[in-house]
Order: sequence, then C-alpha cells, then structure tokens
Amino acid sequence: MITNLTLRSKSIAVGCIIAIAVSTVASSATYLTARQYLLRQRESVAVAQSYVAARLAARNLSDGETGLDALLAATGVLSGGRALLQYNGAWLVSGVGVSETDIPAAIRNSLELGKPSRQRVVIDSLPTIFTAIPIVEGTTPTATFIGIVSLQELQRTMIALRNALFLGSALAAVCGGIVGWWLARRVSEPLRRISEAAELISTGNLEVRVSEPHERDLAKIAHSFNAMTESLKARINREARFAAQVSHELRSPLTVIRGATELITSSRDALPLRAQLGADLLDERVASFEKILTDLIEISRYESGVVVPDLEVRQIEPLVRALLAHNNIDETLLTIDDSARGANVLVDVRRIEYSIANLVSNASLYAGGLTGVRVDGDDATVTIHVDDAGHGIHEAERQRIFEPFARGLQHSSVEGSGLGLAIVAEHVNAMKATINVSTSPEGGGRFSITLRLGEPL
Amino acid sequence: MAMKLLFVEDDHAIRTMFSAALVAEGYEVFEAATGEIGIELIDTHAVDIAIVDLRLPGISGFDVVRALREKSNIPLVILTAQGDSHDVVAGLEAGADDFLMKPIAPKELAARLRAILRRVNHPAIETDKSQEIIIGRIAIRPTAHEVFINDTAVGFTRTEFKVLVELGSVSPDTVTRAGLLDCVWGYDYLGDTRLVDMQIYRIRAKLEPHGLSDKLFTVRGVGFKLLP
Repeated sequence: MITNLTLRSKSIAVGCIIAIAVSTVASSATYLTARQYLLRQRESVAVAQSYVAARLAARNLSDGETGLDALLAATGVLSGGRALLQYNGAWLVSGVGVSETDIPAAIRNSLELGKPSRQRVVIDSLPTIFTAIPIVEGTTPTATFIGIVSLQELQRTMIALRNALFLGSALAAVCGGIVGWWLARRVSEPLRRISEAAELISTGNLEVRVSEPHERDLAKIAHSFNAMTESLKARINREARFAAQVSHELRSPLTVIRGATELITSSRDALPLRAQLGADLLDERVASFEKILTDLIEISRYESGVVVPDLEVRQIEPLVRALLAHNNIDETLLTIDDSARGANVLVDVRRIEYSIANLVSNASLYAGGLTGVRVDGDDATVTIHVDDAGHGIHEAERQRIFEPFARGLQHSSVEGSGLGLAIVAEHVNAMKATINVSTSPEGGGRFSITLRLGEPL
Repeated sequence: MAMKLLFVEDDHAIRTMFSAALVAEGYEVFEAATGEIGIELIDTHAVDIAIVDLRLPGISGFDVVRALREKSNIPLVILTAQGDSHDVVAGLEAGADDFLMKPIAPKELAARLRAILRRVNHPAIETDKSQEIIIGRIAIRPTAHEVFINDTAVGFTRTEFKVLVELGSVSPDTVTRAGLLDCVWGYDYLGDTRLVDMQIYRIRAKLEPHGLSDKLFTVRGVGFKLLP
C-alpha cells in the first residue's frame, strides 16, 4: 500500500513521523528531568521549613504555651502547609482535611524509634510531603511535630510544563509535515515539469525546455533532459535537412534528364528501332521518378516543419470545376449541393490541387474508377467528397492509410510514390481542413475533404 | 521574326538543355551563366522576354530581376523551386511578372512563354481593343503601348499595360481576378492570384503621383475596376 503513495505523501508522512519521534523523546526527557529536579528542590524546601516550624513549636512549648498555640504558630512558617503535633499523648491538628490517620506507616515506625523521617505520599490525588521531627527536651522526647506540605503548586507547574511540551511536540509534527511537503515539492515540482515536457516532446514539439532548479542534483537532471531534447531536435533537423538536400541535389540532374528525354523523344522517328525502345522506356520511367522525387521533397519539407501554406479565399464552384478540368474529369461526375453553392472557402490552391489530383488518381488506379465528386456544405464548412467504385477501406485501415508507404510493396507494380496520401493528409492539415474516409452512398470508398469557409478579399 | 529570349541560369546542363528545346521552338536564346552577364546582355540585345533562375552564384536572382526591371519593360519570368513560396513573393516584388516551378519540362516552359508573349505583346489582337481608351484623365493607346496621364507619358511594363487595357476596356465595370489571370497570363481559376494583386499594386503606385490611385478600385470578393 505504501508503494502506491505519491512521493509527496510519503515525504509528508516521514517528516511527521520523524518530528513526532524526536519531539516526543526530547519532551519526555525534559519533562522527567524537570520534574525530578523541581520535586527534589521543593522537597528540601518543605523539609527545611518543617524543621524551622518544629524548632519554633519546641521553643513555644518550652515557654509554656499550650500545644495548640505552639502548633498554630509553627504552622504559619509552613507557608500554606499544615501540621500535626503529638503532645501529651494526643494529636493536635492545625486545620481541617488532615488527621493523624493520614500519617504513613513508615513515618510511624521511625517515630517509634524516635528518629526524624520524611515521606512523599498522595493525598486527594495531590503529592504531599510529610516531615516528622521528634521534639526533645534534654534527652526526653516531649512531642512530635509533623509538617505536611502539599506540592499542589509543583503539580500545577508540571501540568503546565507537560501541556507546553505536548503542544510543542504537536507543533513539531506539523512543522515536520510541512518540511516534508516542502522538500517533496522541491523535488517533485521539477520532476513534474520534466514529465510534462517529455509528454509535449512525444507529441512532436521539440522546442520545449525545462528551467533548471537551484538544487544541484535536480539541475543536473533538468540539464541532461534539455541537452537530450536539443540533440534530438538537432538530429531530426539534420535528417530532415539531409533528405531535403538530397532531394534538391537530385532535382537539377532530373530536370536535365527529363528535358533531354523530351529532346530525344521529340525526334523519336529519326532514331533506330532499338534506340526508340530505349527512349520509350526512359520517357515512361522518368515521369514516375519525377513524381517520387517531388513527393519526397514535399514530405521532407513537412518533416522539417518549414511549411507555411498560402491560404486564400476562393469560390468553391469554379475551384472544383477547375480542379476537375486539370485532371481531365468529365463534369457530369460533379454534383454541387445547394448548401455549398456560392460558398467561399479557405484554401491553398497548390495544396488542394495536389490533394484532389491524388484522390481522383487513387480512385482510378486502386479502386475501380471514380464514380462521383460531390460537394456539400453547412454553416461553417464545405466538403468535397471523392467517391470510387472500390470496396471501400476497412475501418481498421482508415487511419493507417495516411502514413507514408502505407500501401506497402504489394502495390509496387502500380505507379505511385507511396507518399501521396501522407502528403494529402499533411496538405489538408496545413490548410486547417480535415480529411475523412467513409463509404459512398453506392457502397464504394469515399474520401472527404472538409474546408473552412472564408471571407473574400 | 524569332522571339529573343534571355535565359539566366547557372547550371550548365539545364541551360543547354532548355536552350536546345527553346531554339527548336523557334526562339533565339541568349544564355547567361551569371546575373552579371544577364544584365549586360539586356543592354546589347533587344530581348522580348527573360527567364531568371533565383538561385544564382554572385548577385542573386532577385537583384537580377530588379536590375532588368529598371532597364526594360519586357515580361520577366522567375524559376523557383517548388514550395519556396517566399521566393515567389520576393521575386514578384522585385518586378517579375510570372513564376515557374522547377522541375519543369521544356514543353511546359515553352507553352507558358508562348501564352505570356502572345497576350502581353499583342493586347489588341485578341479582341477589338485597338481604339484609344480614355478613362477620365488616363489615355491608353493599345497599338502603340502608350499610356498618358494628364497628357504626360507614363512608363508601364508590358504586363501592367495589358492589365490596364483589360480594366480600361470595360470601365467602369469590374474585372474579376480570375478574368485577369485568364486574359493576361492565360491561367485558369487555379492560377496564383498574387500575380494579379502585385500588378494592381504596381499600377496604383504609378497612378499615385497623379492623385489617381483611388480610381483603381478593389471590389471586395470580386476583382477590380478602373473608374473615370
């Protein structure tokens, strides 16, 4: 169960326990020592007072005063104490609440032997000191004086001290808890920030850094974390730059190869038969090579995060008609719902052109042909649906198909870079639009791009 | 007569290949391996159109475009790598009239050049726009490629001139961006509207000293119109 607690709760608990333990030991020691010392102190004062009182009583008795007078005079010395005087075989009492029956047995015993003695007993739950002093005239014992001093004051002091110590212990426990919480916070706060930063990084944000705390050990962790993120970012950037660089370097020679191929094929008829075959193969392959390269450059630009779309507001109807015309698609396949007619949408023309071209070409290459392009809209969006004659895309596959090379190698016989849908997804995302895969009303596949409405310039 | 074309491109192979293709299309091509050579060539030869690659050693393609624009009113076309949108904007701002994305096939290039040259050099051929057009204090003479504002001749580039003719011939009606893209550049609705906006901006700048910049009016969400 303990292992399930958070670092913070554990620290608080440990802080409290340590504080309670330390303060309990310290308070107990203080209490016991103080009690011992004060008791002894009070006891010796009581004994000394009793002796003074006994001496006073003895003098008064020898002066011929009555036993009671001598007792009362002596009791005055005991500052609030009481006294007993055994004189002429009878016990005289200085006040109510005490009688000879209260005299402890041990004192009686020592008195019988004619020895002074003292003892601490509890009367009415108050510690009380009995000091018994035989009064001797010459060698004859004439009386016995017993001073009874209650330690009520001391008891009160001890209770006050105990309460103070208890309060102190409680306070120490609370402080211990606070210290534990504070220490835990100092440790866990930077850790929490690091874990949040790690989560952000896992979502692709490589700009996140954590501030370094004052504690050296934690600062070291934060520093290492930042260094790791920095090198991760540098590495990703390096790879993206490398891909972009390679693509750019390939583009120039490819431009030349494509142009040169065109020059050759433009005078194809003048070539020998074998050279004509070579020219045809070259012509065919250069086109697909160029498509792959252009796609690679495009995706590497997204990977390196340098893409800024050129968003502008266009009318949906002429836009879609022009898109279809560019892809040589018969206008009879187009249906524009009244809900979309006259709408203006926010698009990057080059990106929507690529996306629609890719979707309609996929429809004819992989899904039995295009069955329709339908446009509809609502208050905030316009959606272009591209429907095909295929079997649709299985639910489980719908997310995966937007990943690079998702079609795998089984389709390598068909022209395409394997990056098309991944680029479409990036393009759509860059335009703050969305793309969805579903089933067309006829049961075929349907790709839908939902564009945001825009205010015209 | 063969159209004269200046081609500024540092890559020898690309230059040679495009030259061969364009010569086959009937152009007389002047090749320049650097911007400096290109700027020299425009002084010595009356070229009709120039293509400038933006990535050049020595002085940059943008500076070449700027220098060429100062010396000449011919159409300037920049070559840029696909996706470098800021290059396109900077190139148009420097004075280019159109842009082409690399990689491009020679046939595509030739077709684009044909479209630009035909429309820009002969604004009067396609429709009956040979008559002098007078809009308020602006007089446009299509056949002579001349514009007079307050009876003073003002220099316009071929592209600016063509845009002005289109606006003037229907004034005070509105010409849409798509309409201008089609009849000046030969693009359909997917053409880049930044081309139009940049030319409108330039024409306004030339009307401004004469206090006429507000006569070229933007119709929100539609296009532009020239008011008398």
